[in-house]
Amino acid sequence: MTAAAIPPTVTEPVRRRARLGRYALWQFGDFGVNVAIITLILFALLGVMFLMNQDAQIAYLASRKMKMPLEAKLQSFTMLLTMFTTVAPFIAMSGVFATDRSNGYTRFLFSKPMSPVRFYAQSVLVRLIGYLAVGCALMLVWSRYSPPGISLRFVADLTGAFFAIGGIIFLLSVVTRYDGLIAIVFVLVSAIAWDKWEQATGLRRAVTYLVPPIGKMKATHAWFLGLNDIGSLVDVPFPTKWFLWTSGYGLACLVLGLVLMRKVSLTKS
Amino acid sequence: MIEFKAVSKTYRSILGTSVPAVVDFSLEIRDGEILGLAGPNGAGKSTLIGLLLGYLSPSAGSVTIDGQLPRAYIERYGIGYLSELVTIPPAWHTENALKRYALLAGVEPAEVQSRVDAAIGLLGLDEHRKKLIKQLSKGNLQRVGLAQALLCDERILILDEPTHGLDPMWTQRFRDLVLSLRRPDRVVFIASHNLDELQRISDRVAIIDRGRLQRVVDLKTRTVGSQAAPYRLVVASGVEHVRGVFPDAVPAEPNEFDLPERSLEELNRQLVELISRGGLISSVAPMHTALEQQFREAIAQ
Repeated sequence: MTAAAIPPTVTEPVRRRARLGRYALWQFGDFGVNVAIITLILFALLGVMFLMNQDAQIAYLASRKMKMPLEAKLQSFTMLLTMFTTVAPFIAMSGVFATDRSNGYTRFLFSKPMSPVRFYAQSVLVRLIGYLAVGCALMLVWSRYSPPGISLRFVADLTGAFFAIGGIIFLLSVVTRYDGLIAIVFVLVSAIAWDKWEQATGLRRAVTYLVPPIGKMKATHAWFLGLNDIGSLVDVPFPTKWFLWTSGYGLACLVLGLVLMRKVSLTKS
Repeated sequence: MIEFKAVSKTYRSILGTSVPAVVDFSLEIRDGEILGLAGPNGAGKSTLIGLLLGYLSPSAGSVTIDGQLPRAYIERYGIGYLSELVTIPPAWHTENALKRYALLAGVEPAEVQSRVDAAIGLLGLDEHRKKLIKQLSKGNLQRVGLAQALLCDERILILDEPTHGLDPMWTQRFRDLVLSLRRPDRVVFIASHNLDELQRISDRVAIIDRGRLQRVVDLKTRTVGSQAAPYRLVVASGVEHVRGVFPDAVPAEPNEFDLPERSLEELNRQLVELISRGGLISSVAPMHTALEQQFREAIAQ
Protein backbone atom coordinates (compact mmCIF):
# COMPACT_ATOMS: atom_id res chain seq x y z
CA MET A 1 0.00 0.00 0.00
CA THR A 2 1.29 3.47 -0.80
CA ALA A 3 0.46 6.93 0.41
CA ALA A 4 -1.37 7.63 -2.83
CA ALA A 5 -3.74 4.74 -2.12
CA ILE A 6 -5.15 6.46 0.95
CA PRO A 7 -8.06 8.79 0.20
CA PRO A 8 -7.20 12.35 1.25
CA THR A 9 -10.01 12.87 3.72
CA VAL A 10 -9.84 15.02 6.81
CA THR A 11 -12.01 13.64 9.58
CA GLU A 12 -12.86 14.75 13.07
CA PRO A 13 -11.32 12.51 15.72
CA VAL A 14 -13.73 9.81 16.81
CA ARG A 15 -14.37 9.71 20.52
CA ARG A 16 -13.78 6.25 21.90
CA ARG A 17 -13.91 4.54 25.26
CA ALA A 18 -11.93 1.59 26.47
CA ARG A 19 -14.11 -1.49 26.90
CA LEU A 20 -13.26 -1.75 30.55
CA GLY A 21 -16.26 -3.94 31.36
CA ARG A 22 -15.04 -6.57 28.90
CA TYR A 23 -11.48 -6.09 30.06
CA ALA A 24 -12.58 -7.07 33.59
CA LEU A 25 -12.70 -10.69 32.39
CA TRP A 26 -8.98 -10.50 31.63
CA GLN A 27 -8.37 -8.89 35.01
CA PHE A 28 -10.21 -11.73 36.73
CA GLY A 29 -8.02 -14.16 34.80
CA ASP A 30 -4.89 -12.33 35.95
CA PHE A 31 -6.14 -12.38 39.53
CA GLY A 32 -6.79 -16.11 39.27
CA VAL A 33 -3.31 -16.88 37.98
CA ASN A 34 -1.29 -14.38 40.01
CA VAL A 35 -3.17 -14.17 43.31
CA ALA A 36 -5.96 -16.70 43.79
CA ILE A 37 -3.90 -19.85 43.26
CA ILE A 38 -1.16 -18.86 45.71
CA THR A 39 -3.70 -17.65 48.27
CA LEU A 40 -5.74 -20.85 47.98
CA ILE A 41 -2.66 -23.05 48.34
CA LEU A 42 -1.28 -21.07 51.28
CA PHE A 43 -4.50 -20.99 53.28
CA ALA A 44 -5.54 -24.51 52.34
CA LEU A 45 -2.26 -25.73 53.84
CA LEU A 46 -2.73 -23.56 56.92
CA GLY A 47 -6.30 -24.82 57.21
CA VAL A 48 -5.10 -28.43 57.06
CA MET A 49 -2.56 -27.69 59.81
CA PHE A 50 -5.26 -26.10 62.00
CA LEU A 51 -7.62 -29.01 61.39
CA MET A 52 -4.89 -31.56 62.20
CA ASN A 53 -4.18 -29.74 65.44
CA GLN A 54 -7.89 -29.55 66.22
CA ASP A 55 -8.35 -33.24 65.42
CA ALA A 56 -5.49 -34.10 67.79
CA GLN A 57 -7.23 -32.12 70.55
CA ILE A 58 -10.57 -33.78 69.79
CA ALA A 59 -8.92 -37.22 69.93
CA TYR A 60 -7.23 -36.35 73.23
CA LEU A 61 -10.53 -35.14 74.74
CA ALA A 62 -12.36 -38.20 73.35
CA SER A 63 -9.87 -40.47 75.13
CA ARG A 64 -11.11 -38.82 78.33
CA LYS A 65 -14.74 -39.18 77.31
CA MET A 66 -14.98 -35.42 76.67
CA LYS A 67 -16.08 -33.38 73.65
CA MET A 68 -14.42 -30.27 72.28
CA PRO A 69 -16.76 -27.30 72.90
CA LEU A 70 -17.89 -25.13 69.99
CA GLU A 71 -16.29 -22.06 71.60
CA ALA A 72 -12.88 -23.75 71.47
CA LYS A 73 -13.31 -24.63 67.81
CA LEU A 74 -14.31 -21.05 67.00
CA GLN A 75 -11.42 -19.63 68.99
CA SER A 76 -9.05 -21.83 67.03
CA PHE A 77 -10.66 -20.62 63.81
CA THR A 78 -10.28 -16.97 64.92
CA MET A 79 -6.52 -17.28 64.53
CA LEU A 80 -6.87 -18.60 61.01
CA LEU A 81 -9.41 -15.88 60.16
CA THR A 82 -7.10 -13.18 61.51
CA MET A 83 -4.28 -14.50 59.37
CA PHE A 84 -6.47 -14.58 56.28
CA THR A 85 -7.94 -11.09 56.74
CA THR A 86 -4.47 -9.65 57.25
CA VAL A 87 -2.38 -11.56 54.72
CA ALA A 88 -4.83 -12.17 51.84
CA PRO A 89 -5.48 -8.43 51.21
CA PHE A 90 -1.69 -7.97 51.13
CA ILE A 91 -1.33 -10.65 48.48
CA ALA A 92 -4.31 -9.31 46.53
CA MET A 93 -3.32 -5.64 46.52
CA SER A 94 0.46 -5.56 46.72
CA GLY A 95 1.95 -3.78 43.71
CA VAL A 96 -1.47 -2.97 42.26
CA PHE A 97 -0.17 0.18 40.55
CA ALA A 98 3.53 0.17 41.40
CA THR A 99 4.22 -3.06 39.51
CA ASP A 100 2.63 -1.77 36.32
CA ARG A 101 4.51 1.50 36.56
CA SER A 102 7.92 0.11 37.52
CA ASN A 103 7.72 -2.57 34.80
CA GLY A 104 6.65 0.00 32.22
CA TYR A 105 3.27 -1.66 31.53
CA THR A 106 1.56 1.71 32.00
CA ARG A 107 3.14 2.98 28.76
CA PHE A 108 0.85 1.07 26.43
CA LEU A 109 -2.10 0.96 28.80
CA PHE A 110 -2.51 4.70 29.09
CA SER A 111 -2.05 5.53 25.43
CA LYS A 112 -5.54 4.03 25.18
CA PRO A 113 -8.71 6.09 25.66
CA MET A 114 -9.22 5.59 29.38
CA SER A 115 -8.33 7.26 32.62
CA PRO A 116 -5.90 5.51 34.96
CA VAL A 117 -8.30 6.28 37.80
CA ARG A 118 -11.10 4.25 36.22
CA PHE A 119 -8.73 1.47 35.23
CA TYR A 120 -7.33 1.02 38.73
CA ALA A 121 -10.68 1.55 40.44
CA GLN A 122 -11.91 -1.40 38.38
CA SER A 123 -8.75 -3.33 39.18
CA VAL A 124 -9.41 -2.84 42.92
CA LEU A 125 -13.01 -3.98 42.48
CA VAL A 126 -11.88 -7.10 40.62
CA ARG A 127 -9.38 -7.85 43.39
CA LEU A 128 -12.05 -7.36 46.05
CA ILE A 129 -14.42 -9.76 44.29
CA GLY A 130 -11.63 -12.25 43.69
CA TYR A 131 -10.47 -12.05 47.31
CA LEU A 132 -14.04 -12.60 48.55
CA ALA A 133 -14.45 -15.55 46.17
CA VAL A 134 -11.23 -17.12 47.45
CA GLY A 135 -12.27 -16.50 51.07
CA CYS A 136 -15.72 -18.01 50.48
CA ALA A 137 -14.28 -21.01 48.64
CA LEU A 138 -11.91 -21.70 51.52
CA MET A 139 -14.71 -21.22 54.02
CA LEU A 140 -16.97 -23.63 52.14
CA VAL A 141 -14.29 -26.32 52.35
CA TRP A 142 -13.51 -25.51 56.00
CA SER A 143 -17.16 -25.69 56.99
CA ARG A 144 -17.31 -29.32 55.80
CA TYR A 145 -14.91 -30.22 58.61
CA SER A 146 -15.45 -27.65 61.34
CA PRO A 147 -17.61 -24.62 62.26
CA PRO A 148 -18.31 -21.83 61.43
CA GLY A 149 -20.17 -21.86 58.13
CA ILE A 150 -20.31 -19.23 55.43
CA SER A 151 -22.62 -16.27 56.11
CA LEU A 152 -23.23 -12.64 55.22
CA ARG A 153 -21.41 -11.66 58.41
CA PHE A 154 -18.36 -13.52 57.13
CA VAL A 155 -18.51 -11.63 53.81
CA ALA A 156 -18.89 -8.31 55.66
CA ASP A 157 -15.93 -9.17 57.88
CA LEU A 158 -13.74 -9.99 54.88
CA THR A 159 -14.86 -6.86 53.01
CA GLY A 160 -14.04 -4.60 55.95
CA ALA A 161 -10.59 -6.16 56.26
CA PHE A 162 -9.97 -5.79 52.51
CA PHE A 163 -10.60 -2.05 52.62
CA ALA A 164 -8.71 -1.60 55.89
CA ILE A 165 -5.51 -3.24 54.60
CA GLY A 166 -5.96 -2.97 50.83
CA GLY A 167 -6.69 0.77 50.88
CA ILE A 168 -3.41 1.49 52.65
CA ILE A 169 -1.49 -0.67 50.18
CA PHE A 170 -3.19 1.05 47.25
CA LEU A 171 -2.14 4.51 48.45
CA LEU A 172 1.42 3.33 49.02
CA SER A 173 1.46 1.68 45.59
CA VAL A 174 0.68 5.00 43.95
CA VAL A 175 3.54 6.80 45.69
CA THR A 176 6.24 4.13 45.94
CA ARG A 177 7.30 0.87 44.36
CA TYR A 178 7.97 -0.60 47.82
CA ASP A 179 4.30 -0.54 48.75
CA GLY A 180 4.06 -4.07 50.16
CA LEU A 181 7.11 -3.74 52.39
CA ILE A 182 6.16 -0.31 53.72
CA ALA A 183 2.58 -1.46 54.28
CA ILE A 184 3.78 -4.39 56.43
CA VAL A 185 5.84 -2.00 58.57
CA PHE A 186 2.95 0.48 58.78
CA VAL A 187 0.42 -2.15 59.81
CA LEU A 188 2.77 -3.60 62.43
CA VAL A 189 3.58 -0.15 63.83
CA SER A 190 -0.15 0.65 63.92
CA ALA A 191 -0.96 -2.56 65.74
CA ILE A 192 1.82 -2.03 68.28
CA ALA A 193 0.94 1.65 68.80
CA TRP A 194 -2.71 0.86 69.49
CA ASP A 195 -1.81 -2.02 71.76
CA LYS A 196 0.62 0.04 73.84
CA TRP A 197 -0.72 3.58 73.72
CA GLU A 198 -4.47 3.36 73.21
CA GLN A 199 -5.03 4.69 76.71
CA ALA A 200 -1.98 7.00 76.68
CA THR A 201 -2.19 10.78 76.77
CA GLY A 202 -0.44 13.63 74.96
CA LEU A 203 1.82 13.04 71.96
CA ARG A 204 1.66 9.23 72.17
CA ARG A 205 -2.10 9.31 71.98
CA ALA A 206 -1.99 11.78 69.07
CA VAL A 207 0.46 9.60 67.16
CA THR A 208 -1.60 6.49 67.89
CA TYR A 209 -4.76 8.11 66.61
CA LEU A 210 -3.03 9.02 63.33
CA VAL A 211 -2.60 5.37 62.43
CA PRO A 212 -5.47 2.93 61.96
CA PRO A 213 -6.57 0.63 64.81
CA ILE A 214 -5.79 -2.47 62.75
CA GLY A 215 -5.94 -4.73 65.81
CA LYS A 216 -9.58 -3.74 66.29
CA MET A 217 -10.53 -5.78 63.24
CA LYS A 218 -10.84 -8.60 65.75
CA ALA A 219 -14.03 -6.91 66.98
CA THR A 220 -15.62 -7.63 63.60
CA HIS A 221 -14.34 -11.22 63.76
CA ALA A 222 -16.00 -11.53 67.18
CA TRP A 223 -19.26 -10.17 65.76
CA PHE A 224 -19.13 -12.70 62.92
CA LEU A 225 -18.29 -15.64 65.18
CA GLY A 226 -20.48 -14.54 68.10
CA LEU A 227 -17.60 -14.88 70.53
CA ASN A 228 -16.97 -12.28 73.21
CA ASP A 229 -13.58 -11.29 74.65
CA ILE A 230 -13.55 -14.16 77.16
CA GLY A 231 -14.49 -16.74 74.53
CA SER A 232 -18.16 -17.20 75.44
CA LEU A 233 -20.84 -17.67 72.80
CA VAL A 234 -23.01 -14.53 72.84
CA ASP A 235 -24.72 -12.33 70.31
CA VAL A 236 -21.96 -9.73 69.86
CA PRO A 237 -23.27 -6.36 68.62
CA PHE A 238 -21.84 -5.01 65.37
CA PRO A 239 -18.71 -2.98 66.23
CA THR A 240 -19.76 0.07 64.22
CA LYS A 241 -17.05 2.35 65.59
CA TRP A 242 -14.10 0.05 64.94
CA PHE A 243 -15.45 -1.22 61.63
CA LEU A 244 -15.93 2.31 60.30
CA TRP A 245 -12.61 3.43 61.71
CA THR A 246 -10.48 0.65 60.20
CA SER A 247 -12.36 0.28 56.92
CA GLY A 248 -12.98 4.02 56.61
CA TYR A 249 -9.28 4.71 57.12
CA GLY A 250 -8.41 2.26 54.34
CA LEU A 251 -11.16 3.57 52.10
CA ALA A 252 -9.90 7.13 52.61
CA CYS A 253 -6.40 5.94 51.63
CA LEU A 254 -7.87 4.29 48.54
CA VAL A 255 -9.66 7.47 47.47
CA LEU A 256 -6.54 9.55 48.18
CA GLY A 257 -4.52 7.13 46.04
CA LEU A 258 -6.96 7.55 43.15
CA VAL A 259 -6.76 11.34 43.50
CA LEU A 260 -2.95 11.27 43.65
CA MET A 261 -2.85 9.10 40.55
CA ARG A 262 -3.77 12.23 38.61
CA LYS A 263 -0.70 13.98 40.02
CA VAL A 264 2.05 11.37 39.87
CA SER A 265 4.05 10.35 36.83
CA LEU A 266 2.51 7.41 35.01
CA THR A 267 5.91 6.08 34.05
CA LYS A 268 8.94 5.42 36.16
CA SER A 269 11.21 7.87 34.32
CA MET B 1 -2.20 19.62 15.60
CA ILE B 2 0.35 19.13 18.35
CA GLU B 3 1.87 22.20 19.92
CA PHE B 4 4.78 22.51 22.31
CA LYS B 5 4.81 26.06 23.63
CA ALA B 6 7.96 27.14 25.54
CA VAL B 7 8.03 23.78 27.30
CA SER B 8 10.60 23.09 29.99
CA LYS B 9 10.94 20.04 32.18
CA THR B 10 13.30 19.84 35.11
CA TYR B 11 13.71 16.72 37.20
CA ARG B 12 14.25 17.45 40.88
CA SER B 13 15.63 14.99 43.38
CA ILE B 14 14.65 14.79 47.03
CA LEU B 15 18.05 16.27 47.88
CA GLY B 16 17.25 19.39 45.89
CA THR B 17 19.47 18.81 42.86
CA SER B 18 17.75 19.59 39.59
CA VAL B 19 18.44 18.33 36.09
CA PRO B 20 16.93 20.25 33.18
CA ALA B 21 15.81 17.67 30.61
CA VAL B 22 13.92 19.97 28.23
CA VAL B 23 14.48 23.72 28.01
CA ASP B 24 12.17 26.25 26.36
CA PHE B 25 11.08 23.87 23.61
CA SER B 26 8.58 25.23 21.08
CA LEU B 27 7.34 23.36 18.03
CA GLU B 28 4.14 22.91 16.07
CA ILE B 29 3.40 19.62 14.37
CA ARG B 30 0.76 20.02 11.70
CA ASP B 31 -1.96 17.60 10.68
CA GLY B 32 -0.85 15.41 7.79
CA GLU B 33 2.78 15.67 8.76
CA ILE B 34 5.36 13.02 9.55
CA LEU B 35 7.78 14.65 11.96
CA GLY B 36 11.04 13.08 13.02
CA LEU B 37 12.78 13.81 16.30
CA ALA B 38 16.53 13.27 16.38
CA GLY B 39 19.07 13.84 19.07
CA PRO B 40 21.99 12.17 20.81
CA ASN B 41 21.51 10.02 23.91
CA GLY B 42 20.26 12.07 26.84
CA ALA B 43 19.11 14.90 24.58
CA GLY B 44 15.60 14.90 26.04
CA LYS B 45 13.70 12.87 23.43
CA SER B 46 12.12 10.47 25.92
CA THR B 47 11.13 13.33 28.21
CA LEU B 48 9.48 15.12 25.28
CA ILE B 49 7.51 11.98 24.46
CA GLY B 50 6.56 11.57 28.12
CA LEU B 51 5.26 15.15 28.06
CA LEU B 52 3.39 14.54 24.83
CA LEU B 53 1.68 11.49 26.32
CA GLY B 54 0.86 13.36 29.51
CA TYR B 55 2.88 10.84 31.52
CA LEU B 56 4.96 13.77 32.74
CA SER B 57 3.89 17.33 33.52
CA PRO B 58 5.92 20.24 32.17
CA SER B 59 7.74 22.44 34.68
CA ALA B 60 6.91 25.41 32.44
CA GLY B 61 5.07 26.01 29.18
CA SER B 62 2.37 23.83 27.72
CA VAL B 63 1.82 20.84 25.46
CA THR B 64 -1.49 20.51 23.63
CA ILE B 65 -3.04 18.11 21.14
CA ASP B 66 -5.84 19.74 19.15
CA GLY B 67 -5.89 22.44 21.81
CA GLN B 68 -6.39 19.98 24.67
CA LEU B 69 -3.99 18.86 27.36
CA PRO B 70 -2.42 15.54 26.34
CA ARG B 71 -4.16 13.36 28.94
CA ALA B 72 -7.53 14.93 28.21
CA TYR B 73 -7.04 14.23 24.49
CA ILE B 74 -5.74 10.68 24.99
CA GLU B 75 -8.49 9.74 27.45
CA ARG B 76 -11.08 10.88 24.89
CA TYR B 77 -9.61 9.59 21.65
CA GLY B 78 -6.56 7.45 22.37
CA ILE B 79 -3.34 7.53 20.39
CA GLY B 80 -1.09 4.96 18.75
CA TYR B 81 2.10 4.72 20.78
CA LEU B 82 5.13 2.51 20.46
CA SER B 83 7.58 2.98 23.31
CA GLU B 84 11.34 2.62 22.96
CA LEU B 85 11.23 -0.36 25.32
CA VAL B 86 8.35 -2.65 24.49
CA THR B 87 7.04 -3.54 27.93
CA ILE B 88 4.26 -6.12 27.93
CA PRO B 89 3.76 -8.62 30.77
CA PRO B 90 5.95 -11.60 29.82
CA ALA B 91 3.31 -14.22 30.71
CA TRP B 92 0.79 -12.88 28.19
CA HIS B 93 0.37 -14.63 24.86
CA THR B 94 0.96 -12.49 21.79
CA GLU B 95 -2.56 -12.78 20.42
CA ASN B 96 -4.18 -12.31 23.81
CA ALA B 97 -2.02 -9.26 24.50
CA LEU B 98 -3.27 -7.69 21.29
CA LYS B 99 -6.88 -8.61 22.16
CA ARG B 100 -6.50 -6.89 25.51
CA TYR B 101 -5.02 -3.76 23.94
CA ALA B 102 -7.76 -3.75 21.30
CA LEU B 103 -10.46 -3.75 23.99
CA LEU B 104 -8.69 -0.97 25.83
CA ALA B 105 -8.29 0.96 22.58
CA GLY B 106 -12.07 0.98 22.30
CA VAL B 107 -12.50 -1.60 19.54
CA GLU B 108 -16.01 -3.10 19.50
CA PRO B 109 -15.80 -6.56 21.12
CA ALA B 110 -17.24 -8.11 17.95
CA GLU B 111 -14.42 -6.59 15.90
CA VAL B 112 -11.54 -7.41 18.22
CA GLN B 113 -10.60 -10.70 16.59
CA SER B 114 -10.63 -9.29 13.06
CA ARG B 115 -8.57 -6.24 14.08
CA VAL B 116 -6.07 -8.44 15.87
CA ASP B 117 -5.84 -10.79 12.90
CA ALA B 118 -5.26 -7.83 10.60
CA ALA B 119 -2.51 -6.43 12.82
CA ILE B 120 -0.89 -9.85 13.16
CA GLY B 121 -0.98 -10.25 9.39
CA LEU B 122 0.36 -6.76 8.75
CA LEU B 123 3.30 -7.28 11.09
CA GLY B 124 3.98 -10.90 10.05
CA LEU B 125 3.33 -12.31 13.52
CA ASP B 126 1.15 -15.24 12.56
CA GLU B 127 3.62 -17.91 13.61
CA HIS B 128 4.11 -16.15 16.96
CA ARG B 129 0.48 -15.55 17.90
CA LYS B 130 0.38 -18.38 20.47
CA LYS B 131 3.80 -17.68 21.94
CA LEU B 132 4.34 -16.05 25.29
CA ILE B 133 5.70 -12.51 25.12
CA LYS B 134 8.81 -13.67 26.98
CA GLN B 135 9.52 -16.19 24.22
CA LEU B 136 9.71 -13.54 21.50
CA SER B 137 12.95 -12.23 20.06
CA LYS B 138 13.67 -8.51 20.32
CA GLY B 139 12.61 -7.89 16.73
CA ASN B 140 9.37 -9.84 17.09
CA LEU B 141 8.59 -8.07 20.34
CA GLN B 142 9.11 -4.77 18.57
CA ARG B 143 6.62 -5.87 15.92
CA VAL B 144 4.07 -6.77 18.62
CA GLY B 145 4.59 -3.28 20.07
CA LEU B 146 4.00 -1.78 16.66
CA ALA B 147 0.93 -3.97 16.12
CA GLN B 148 -0.71 -2.73 19.34
CA ALA B 149 -0.07 0.86 18.23
CA LEU B 150 -1.84 0.20 14.92
CA LEU B 151 -4.88 -1.68 16.26
CA CYS B 152 -7.06 1.38 15.98
CA ASP B 153 -7.14 3.93 13.24
CA GLU B 154 -5.51 6.55 15.46
CA ARG B 155 -5.06 10.15 14.35
CA ILE B 156 -1.90 10.58 16.39
CA LEU B 157 0.93 8.06 16.14
CA ILE B 158 3.96 8.39 18.38
CA LEU B 159 6.73 5.95 17.57
CA ASP B 160 9.83 5.93 19.75
CA GLU B 161 12.76 4.14 18.09
CA PRO B 162 10.34 2.08 15.99
CA THR B 163 12.94 0.06 14.07
CA HIS B 164 15.01 -0.79 17.13
CA GLY B 165 15.80 -4.51 16.87
CA LEU B 166 14.16 -4.98 13.46
CA ASP B 167 16.07 -6.78 10.72
CA PRO B 168 16.74 -4.96 7.41
CA MET B 169 13.71 -6.52 5.73
CA TRP B 170 11.33 -5.41 8.46
CA THR B 171 13.01 -2.02 8.67
CA GLN B 172 12.17 -1.50 5.00
CA ARG B 173 8.63 -2.80 5.54
CA PHE B 174 8.25 -0.43 8.46
CA ARG B 175 9.17 2.50 6.23
CA ASP B 176 6.59 1.47 3.67
CA LEU B 177 4.06 1.02 6.43
CA VAL B 178 4.63 4.47 7.89
CA LEU B 179 4.38 6.06 4.46
CA SER B 180 1.12 4.20 3.90
CA LEU B 181 -0.21 5.64 7.14
CA ARG B 182 0.12 9.21 5.91
CA ARG B 183 -3.25 10.92 5.95
CA PRO B 184 -4.23 14.59 5.82
CA ASP B 185 -5.59 14.54 9.36
CA ARG B 186 -2.96 12.30 10.89
CA VAL B 187 0.20 13.26 12.73
CA VAL B 188 3.03 10.76 12.86
CA PHE B 189 5.78 11.60 15.35
CA ILE B 190 8.89 9.43 15.15
CA ALA B 191 11.86 9.63 17.50
CA SER B 192 14.88 7.80 16.20
CA HIS B 193 18.64 7.62 16.25
CA ASN B 194 18.52 6.38 12.69
CA LEU B 195 18.94 9.54 10.62
CA ASP B 196 18.74 7.68 7.33
CA GLU B 197 15.36 6.32 8.33
CA LEU B 198 14.12 9.76 9.38
CA GLN B 199 15.38 11.27 6.13
CA ARG B 200 13.45 8.70 4.12
CA ILE B 201 10.08 9.02 5.81
CA SER B 202 9.85 12.40 7.54
CA ASP B 203 8.62 15.71 6.21
CA ARG B 204 10.57 17.59 8.85
CA VAL B 205 13.08 16.55 11.46
CA ALA B 206 13.48 18.39 14.75
CA ILE B 207 16.99 18.09 16.14
CA ILE B 208 17.25 18.35 19.91
CA ASP B 209 20.35 18.45 22.06
CA ARG B 210 20.79 19.08 25.77
CA GLY B 211 17.05 19.61 26.01
CA ARG B 212 16.94 22.45 23.50
CA LEU B 213 15.55 22.48 20.00
CA GLN B 214 18.61 23.11 17.85
CA ARG B 215 16.98 23.28 14.45
CA VAL B 216 14.14 21.93 12.36
CA VAL B 217 15.20 20.50 9.01
CA ASP B 218 12.53 20.70 6.33
CA LEU B 219 13.18 17.70 4.12
CA LYS B 220 10.38 18.48 1.69
CA THR B 221 11.61 21.85 0.52
CA ARG B 222 15.33 21.40 0.90
CA THR B 223 17.02 20.64 -2.43
CA VAL B 224 19.79 18.08 -2.43
CA GLY B 225 22.29 20.17 -4.37
CA SER B 226 22.00 23.24 -2.24
CA GLN B 227 24.15 21.78 0.49
CA ALA B 228 27.90 21.21 0.22
CA ALA B 229 28.84 17.72 1.33
CA PRO B 230 31.85 15.39 1.52
CA TYR B 231 31.85 12.37 -0.82
CA ARG B 232 33.42 8.93 -1.11
CA LEU B 233 34.77 8.24 -4.63
CA VAL B 234 35.54 4.71 -5.85
CA VAL B 235 37.33 4.25 -9.19
CA ALA B 236 37.69 1.02 -11.15
CA SER B 237 40.66 2.31 -13.12
CA GLY B 238 42.56 5.54 -13.65
CA VAL B 239 43.58 5.93 -10.01
CA GLU B 240 46.62 7.91 -11.19
CA HIS B 241 44.32 10.68 -12.51
CA VAL B 242 42.41 11.21 -9.28
CA ARG B 243 45.02 13.46 -7.62
CA GLY B 244 45.23 15.56 -10.74
CA VAL B 245 41.51 16.25 -10.77
CA PHE B 246 40.87 16.19 -7.02
CA PRO B 247 44.02 17.65 -5.41
CA ASP B 248 42.40 17.51 -1.94
CA ALA B 249 41.32 13.83 -2.22
CA VAL B 250 42.37 11.69 0.74
CA PRO B 251 43.08 7.99 -0.03
CA ALA B 252 40.84 5.81 2.13
CA GLU B 253 41.05 2.28 0.75
CA PRO B 254 42.66 0.92 -2.44
CA ASN B 255 40.89 2.73 -5.32
CA GLU B 256 38.79 4.72 -2.81
CA PHE B 257 39.12 8.40 -1.93
CA ASP B 258 37.43 10.74 0.51
CA LEU B 259 36.59 14.06 -1.11
CA PRO B 260 36.23 16.95 1.36
CA GLU B 261 33.12 19.09 1.29
CA ARG B 262 32.12 20.54 -2.11
CA SER B 263 28.98 21.53 -3.95
CA LEU B 264 27.18 19.17 -6.28
CA GLU B 265 28.05 21.42 -9.22
CA GLU B 266 31.78 21.30 -8.46
CA LEU B 267 31.69 17.56 -7.92
CA ASN B 268 30.02 16.94 -11.28
CA ARG B 269 32.50 19.20 -13.10
CA GLN B 270 35.41 17.30 -11.54
CA LEU B 271 33.88 13.91 -12.33
CA VAL B 272 33.52 14.90 -15.98
CA GLU B 273 37.17 15.91 -15.96
CA LEU B 274 38.21 12.59 -14.42
CA ILE B 275 36.24 10.60 -16.99
CA SER B 276 37.67 12.65 -19.83
CA ARG B 277 41.17 11.78 -18.61
CA GLY B 278 40.31 8.05 -18.79
CA GLY B 279 39.14 7.41 -15.24
CA LEU B 280 36.47 4.74 -14.78
CA ILE B 281 34.19 5.50 -11.83
CA SER B 282 32.61 2.66 -9.80
CA SER B 283 30.64 4.82 -7.41
CA VAL B 284 30.41 8.22 -5.84
CA ALA B 285 28.23 8.81 -2.79
CA PRO B 286 27.81 11.44 -0.10
CA MET B 287 29.72 10.46 3.02
CA HIS B 288 26.85 11.68 5.19
CA THR B 289 23.21 12.04 4.33
CA ALA B 290 22.02 15.63 4.13
CA LEU B 291 20.21 15.16 7.43
CA GLU B 292 23.26 13.66 9.05
CA GLN B 293 25.24 16.71 8.04
CA GLN B 294 22.61 19.02 9.50
CA PHE B 295 22.59 16.89 12.62
CA ARG B 296 26.35 17.15 12.99
CA GLU B 297 26.23 20.90 12.57
CA ALA B 298 23.35 21.27 15.02
CA ILE B 299 25.03 19.16 17.69
CA ALA B 300 28.38 20.92 17.19
CA GLN B 301 26.82 24.33 17.84
